[in-house]
Amino acid sequence: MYGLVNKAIQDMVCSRFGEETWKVIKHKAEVDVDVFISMEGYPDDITHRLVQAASGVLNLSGAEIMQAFGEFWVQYTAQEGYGEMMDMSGDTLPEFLENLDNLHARVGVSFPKLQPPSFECTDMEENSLNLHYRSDREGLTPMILGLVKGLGTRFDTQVHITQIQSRDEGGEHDEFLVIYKPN
Amino acid sequence: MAPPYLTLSPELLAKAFPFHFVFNRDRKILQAGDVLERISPEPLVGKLIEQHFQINRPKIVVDFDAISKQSRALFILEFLHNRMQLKGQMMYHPEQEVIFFLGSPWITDTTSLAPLGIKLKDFAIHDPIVDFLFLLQAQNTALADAKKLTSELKQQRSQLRSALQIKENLAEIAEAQAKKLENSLKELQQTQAQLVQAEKMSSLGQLVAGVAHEINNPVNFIYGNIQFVKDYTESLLNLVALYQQFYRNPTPEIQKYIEQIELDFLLEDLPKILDSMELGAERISEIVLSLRNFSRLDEAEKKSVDVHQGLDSTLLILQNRFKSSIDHPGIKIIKNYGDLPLVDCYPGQLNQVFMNIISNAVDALDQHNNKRGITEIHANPNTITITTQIIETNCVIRIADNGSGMTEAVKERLFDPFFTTKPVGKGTGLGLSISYQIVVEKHGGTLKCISQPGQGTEFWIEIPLSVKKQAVSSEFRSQESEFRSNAGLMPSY
Repeated sequence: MYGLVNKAIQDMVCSRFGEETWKVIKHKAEVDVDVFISMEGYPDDITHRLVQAASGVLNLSGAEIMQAFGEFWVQYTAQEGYGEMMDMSGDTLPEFLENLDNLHARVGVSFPKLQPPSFECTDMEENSLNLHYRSDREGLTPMILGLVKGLGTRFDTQVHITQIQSRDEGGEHDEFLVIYKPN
Repeated sequence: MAPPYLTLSPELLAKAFPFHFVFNRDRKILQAGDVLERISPEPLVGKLIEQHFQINRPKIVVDFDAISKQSRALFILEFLHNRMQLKGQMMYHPEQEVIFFLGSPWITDTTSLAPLGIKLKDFAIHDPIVDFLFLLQAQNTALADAKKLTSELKQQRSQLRSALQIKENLAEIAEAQAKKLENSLKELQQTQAQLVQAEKMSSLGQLVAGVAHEINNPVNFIYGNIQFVKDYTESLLNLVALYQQFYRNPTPEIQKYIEQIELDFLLEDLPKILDSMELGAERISEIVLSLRNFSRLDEAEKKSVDVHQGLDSTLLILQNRFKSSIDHPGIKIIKNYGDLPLVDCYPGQLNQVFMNIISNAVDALDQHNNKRGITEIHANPNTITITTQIIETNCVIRIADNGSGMTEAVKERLFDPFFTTKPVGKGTGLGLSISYQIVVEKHGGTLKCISQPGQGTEFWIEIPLSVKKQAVSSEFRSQESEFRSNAGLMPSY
């Protein structure tokens, strides 16, 4: 996982719970990294340990944390200089979700170690679509819920997302039903 | 491989190259990409290329043939309306007699897109410019990380530096305070030593002065009158002789008394007794004079004195400690007196220094003897050698013993107040400390000790000569002898 992800988790915890809490989480996760470098690759294990430790310290489930993180990720990447890239990917939530795979494909080309997930939109209706999520990694599915909600905020669109197929329950991949309505 | 025979439709070409345009031999634009048309303030089709574009590279004239020959060149065009740089290539299509420009804007920063009126999604999906911008952004992020890290490092370094500075300051303060404390302790010890010694010397001085005073007068009676006693006795003895000469047969009572008192022996012994008494009185006078010399404590001002006189007085006072007895092998005093001028000094205090050092030498030799057998003592008898000399402008007095010498550890603490190697109750540990102060502080001289175990010990006292350098003449010494012989006439002091 690129340092940017760990940095985003750190930023989220620090901005909501303070630096001291972050130090406790880092200590509990036995992560001895002073500063995460955005473009440096770190073992996935570090991210998982951080989420697990945060879950213990903040008394939240791992899924809740990942969802919150997904929401935070949208605003974090925009503020970290990728706003223009996001703009490029669409002016509306469905347009953006359609381009989400392009965005991740470009990321994968530029940063080969990143192994980004892939996305696909099907059953596109006026106010709904099915979002298919495929990833080599485990445990990041709850993040998609937060991510789509975060995008709803970005595009000023009411959004309701439910998981309709799960890899954990034997599905080939994860699938979400996204219902939206622009404000 | 078969040559390609499939081609894109004009619509797909326009999609694949949203910034392309096509012009004919008259340089008239026949077709333009959607985005290019959108951002142009007026329609491009029908216009001459030079009305909308400037060719920056290669450096050629805007001419159909010239351009058509540059099929391998990288073309950089400037869109005249918004200074947008287009990077691409010119492709001559001979069948249609047209040239295609296929390219797209060259952007190095996403923020420059908005002023040009274009968005990233205006670029074709395959256009690597998006990835290039993506990489640039990643580079910027990495740079920002590096900057942040540098700033944190700087801050930490500065914190470390100030912490080190604080530590250094604290260490300096601690060291200064320790030094101050050490000095205060030293001063305190010296003051205490001075006080103790001053008190002691004051009492001793008064005692010595008192004794000298009390003894001086009766001794003067004896010493002053002994000559008369001798003269009168001689007269009386002469008278007795005359009687014996002219009255050869005395009465039986007288004869009986003559026998009873053993007159012949008396006549022979009496002058001897008187000589002996005279010698004794003379010795007492000498001792009183030495005591007086020694206890010149009332002399607060410097005086020009003969150092040898002070040394001799001290030796006289300590004389009984040099003598040999049953349990004491005796110490030989060797005087190597040089030709010394009068020395400006505090004589009482200097005598005290001599006293301390010579007493220590005697004690050291006694201790040395305790560890030696009689044969060894006879083979190497105890000596104290006192040498005086002038070195440059200093009067140097060296007092050396041939005792067991000192270790480095003892030498280091030698002049410390209350330091002593003598048994409890024997030494105060003040003698050398006081001597050091007297020589160094009072006289501006130096006092050092040269000693090694098994090599004996020599104390080196250096006193600046000050003004007077005139050698003590023999005349002075003869005056001194005269002075002593007339002691009976001296007023008491």
